[in-house]
Amino acid sequence: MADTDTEIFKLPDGVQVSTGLNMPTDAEQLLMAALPEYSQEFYLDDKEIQRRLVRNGTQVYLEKRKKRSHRVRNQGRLGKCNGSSNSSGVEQLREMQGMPEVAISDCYAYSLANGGQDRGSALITTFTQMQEAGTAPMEIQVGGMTKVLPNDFYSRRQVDAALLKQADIEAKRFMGWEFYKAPMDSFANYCRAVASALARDQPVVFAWHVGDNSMRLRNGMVVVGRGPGNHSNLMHSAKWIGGKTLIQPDDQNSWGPAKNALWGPTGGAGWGEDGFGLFTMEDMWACARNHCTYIMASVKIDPSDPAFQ
Amino acid sequence: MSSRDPLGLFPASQPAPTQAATTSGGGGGLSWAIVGVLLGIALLLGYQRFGGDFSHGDDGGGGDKHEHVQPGKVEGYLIFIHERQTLSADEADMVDVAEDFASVTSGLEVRSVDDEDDSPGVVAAIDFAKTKGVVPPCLVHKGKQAGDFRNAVAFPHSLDELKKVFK
Repeated sequence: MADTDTEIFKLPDGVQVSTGLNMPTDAEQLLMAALPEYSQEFYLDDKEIQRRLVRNGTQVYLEKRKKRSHRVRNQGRLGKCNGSSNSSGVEQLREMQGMPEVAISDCYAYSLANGGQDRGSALITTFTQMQEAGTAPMEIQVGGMTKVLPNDFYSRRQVDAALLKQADIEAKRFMGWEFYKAPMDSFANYCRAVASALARDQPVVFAWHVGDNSMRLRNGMVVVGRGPGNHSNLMHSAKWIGGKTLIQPDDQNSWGPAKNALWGPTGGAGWGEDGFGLFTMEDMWACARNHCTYIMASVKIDPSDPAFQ
Repeated sequence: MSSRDPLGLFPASQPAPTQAATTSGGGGGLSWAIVGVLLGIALLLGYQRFGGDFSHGDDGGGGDKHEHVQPGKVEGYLIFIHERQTLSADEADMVDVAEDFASVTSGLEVRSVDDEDDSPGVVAAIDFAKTKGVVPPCLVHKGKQAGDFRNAVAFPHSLDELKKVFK
């Protein structure tokens, strides 16, 4: 189904994957400017960040990887990285807020942000739509039957009308709520804000530039290419290192290995360490001037959750 | 080998240990005493198993996660309602404690929500808390049935405080 205009890369096992992050337009720049910033009131001190990221002498991010590896996505050749990263963020927030696990459709999110073509999207557009339109679950009840949204569509015209209609209704159950941008006034504040969010288990969506050498990790670290940013991912947790940058954020990429077809094509070794890789804060910051980094603090409740009936 | 060391486990230079006083001939009374003690322990455990409480502590006392709570009382949902400005570190810790508690307590689930989430379900929980004289940040206990709000307390800062919501 995919007819992508976005960049295609080849993983070490030969599987092709795409990126899909576009530079924001002027209108999207205004959206970025209007977003509230993660307040300094939320900042944690070094000791608190360390306490939350290292438990009983073990780095928490390693445990989180195991817990979340079944949700690693594989976007394949579609340029839906923004849909993937934001949808994974919503899934993580639901986990954090104690809500039952629901697979979120990254294609649905992508289709709302790309103008009906597989040419990528701007991070801010998807991020904003998560709050305004919500995003649909993969599995949807239509006419008394469970139907699954395809994981390879980019245009709403590619989806059965009845299924799409119900997806739009269901999307209201999965709305972003407290969403912020990371501060850009100084590298120190940026590090503090991102570290504080990840220490609280709040997911962070960010941009980076993928190069040909980014297909493999180097000593567990992501190799970043030079450029303005062509890919977005989710930082789901972090490794505590202390010092000026406090942490090495842990990237949950969307290049597999997907372990469940709900999260993308299965098979293949995928990218990184079971889909994850560590960043330096300097590399994470590199593209943040072009594409804000976003901190997802909470989602709204699902009105159909029995806890709120 | 002597009669006290029929298998020859002890060298001749080392006397075999003296047999305990409970011999088949003269220990019948003590055997009955042991049986009595075991029976008493079994009765004690059975009483606690079916809901008895010998500690006489209040619901907040003790570190044992399920010593003082009874199945019917703790089922349902613990809904943490925090203020708009995200969870503080202490509050986040408390939610972690509650999730640990729920993980060993059958039928109990935890949710954390923002007090400005205008969804009807959140508004109803806050309205109920107000009837208990509590405003967010707070903790509401709700049963499995629709509208079965049971209690609300100020945002707890310990497991002891959390358990007060089950009173």
